[in-house]
Amino acid sequence: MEDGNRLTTVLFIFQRPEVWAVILIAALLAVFLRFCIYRRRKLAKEQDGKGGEKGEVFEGDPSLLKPQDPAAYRDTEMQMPEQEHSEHLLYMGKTQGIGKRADQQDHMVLSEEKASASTDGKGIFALVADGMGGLTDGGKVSQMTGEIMLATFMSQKQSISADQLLLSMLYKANSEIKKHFGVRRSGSTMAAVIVRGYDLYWAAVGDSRICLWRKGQLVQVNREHIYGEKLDRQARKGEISREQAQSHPQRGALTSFIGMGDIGQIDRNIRPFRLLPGDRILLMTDGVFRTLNDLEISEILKQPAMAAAEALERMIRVKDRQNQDNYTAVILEYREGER
Amino acid sequence: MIDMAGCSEKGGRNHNEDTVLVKNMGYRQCALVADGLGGHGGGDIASKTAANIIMEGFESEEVMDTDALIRIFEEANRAVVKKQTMTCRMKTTCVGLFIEEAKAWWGHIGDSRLYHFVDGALNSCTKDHSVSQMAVDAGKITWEQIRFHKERNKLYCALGSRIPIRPEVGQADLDDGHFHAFLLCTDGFWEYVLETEMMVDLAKSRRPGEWLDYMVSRLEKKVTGYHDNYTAAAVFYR
Repeated sequence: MEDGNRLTTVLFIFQRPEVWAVILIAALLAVFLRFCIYRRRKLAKEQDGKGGEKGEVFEGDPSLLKPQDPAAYRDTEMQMPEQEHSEHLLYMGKTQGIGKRADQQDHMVLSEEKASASTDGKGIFALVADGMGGLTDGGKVSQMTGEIMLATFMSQKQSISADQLLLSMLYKANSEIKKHFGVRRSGSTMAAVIVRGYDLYWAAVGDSRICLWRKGQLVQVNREHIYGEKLDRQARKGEISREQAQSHPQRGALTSFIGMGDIGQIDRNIRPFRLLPGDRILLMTDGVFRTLNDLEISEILKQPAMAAAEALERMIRVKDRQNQDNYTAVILEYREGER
Repeated sequence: MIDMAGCSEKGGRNHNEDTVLVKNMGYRQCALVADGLGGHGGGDIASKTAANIIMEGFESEEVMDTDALIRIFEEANRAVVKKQTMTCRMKTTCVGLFIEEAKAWWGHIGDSRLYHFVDGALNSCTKDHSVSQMAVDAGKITWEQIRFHKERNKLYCALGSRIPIRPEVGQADLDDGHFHAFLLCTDGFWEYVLETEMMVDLAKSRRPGEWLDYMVSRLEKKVTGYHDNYTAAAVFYR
């Protein structure tokens, strides 16, 4: 009798329309949920594959990205495969001060102020320039150099290679200054870089410096254009003594600079230079490196770009040199993309 | 297309016991550097002897391959041993690069190095036959730290050895469309030039002579005046 009652109750429940409504809604919900889960999984798969395609600009053969033999480097970082899929960013830092001088004759330029992907077509441009104090209008020349080079950079045609671009930017600035100021009446150093994709390009005239900080080691990229280089060469050949070379009063005189008429030597790369994640590029005028030594600078560069720029400024102030020159530093930090 | 250059200076020492030889025979090219070991006396005789024997062997071998390389080095070893006397057990390191028909072979004994750059980036470097390199293999120090390691000068293998020696050999195909650069140098050179500096200066240089000039500028700025002989050879292959 009890079983019969139970069966009747169940059958009775199924006769009620509300019960069928609930069952139908539950079924629809279940189907909808399954569909959502399926879509999410599908989207996730697509996302992984998409990582590499945005804005990868290769100059030349993409097969250059094949992994290189890591045996030469005893750490186990395999650079190349990761670079294909993650976007690298450049973080910027900069600092500038007048020191103990009457005016500021340094100039600096950054084409981007905030962290940027260097793969976005044009690349990123940075420059420091030090107007020659002994000649008139040094500050005007360094400023004009920076502004003209930036304008030329911004209006570039996509097809030009970055090293050719730097050359044409440099020549443009130099010829404008020649028109405006004449020859050897005024001058400025110039140290500039373009980072495009994974590659660094540079051009420098004079005694401002471009340095590469890699895995804790600070390396000077450009060879300065000063008379001292010629003297050292003579000392090597034995034509003069090392002491004579070191103590020569014209040792620091510039042998190549913007505003000299026909530019003498330019320190630049003719082939791309591959950056590695963690690299820092430092551009600085002599107000920085005549006050701080390589060890101090190298230690400071361990920090991220902005913090390092602030630390450089602090240390220069602390040193409080009697005749502190104008100082300018721009730091570009090449970091793995954090998306 | 091949371009080659070499340089060798006595540095802060009285004599130059290094040797550099660079030769283009048209169908075959060779570059080598050798560092005669001072402290054993007659280092310059050892390095010149080894370099000349290897160069001669290289010119006369019919076919260049790893077996030929090993034979040539063994002959050089015997030649250096012959020059030794009771009072003077001269020895030398040597690293030689040979290029023929778009293929490169190299062999080395000691701590003179060959660096191979492909498209401007460091691809490989020979391993020193030194106590410091053994420390790297044992995981005690990193390869980069060899430069500053106190056991750096202790070699366990050099030409002029009375027990049979065997050079370590390497090779590469050059006809792959990439730009190949080689730097052969004695320890007096690589001690003062960082690999990053080699790559920076390579990126600037149209010719191997320029490359050497930039690197020598760096070296000369760093030295104190008591530094070792330094010697290097550079080869560009496009």
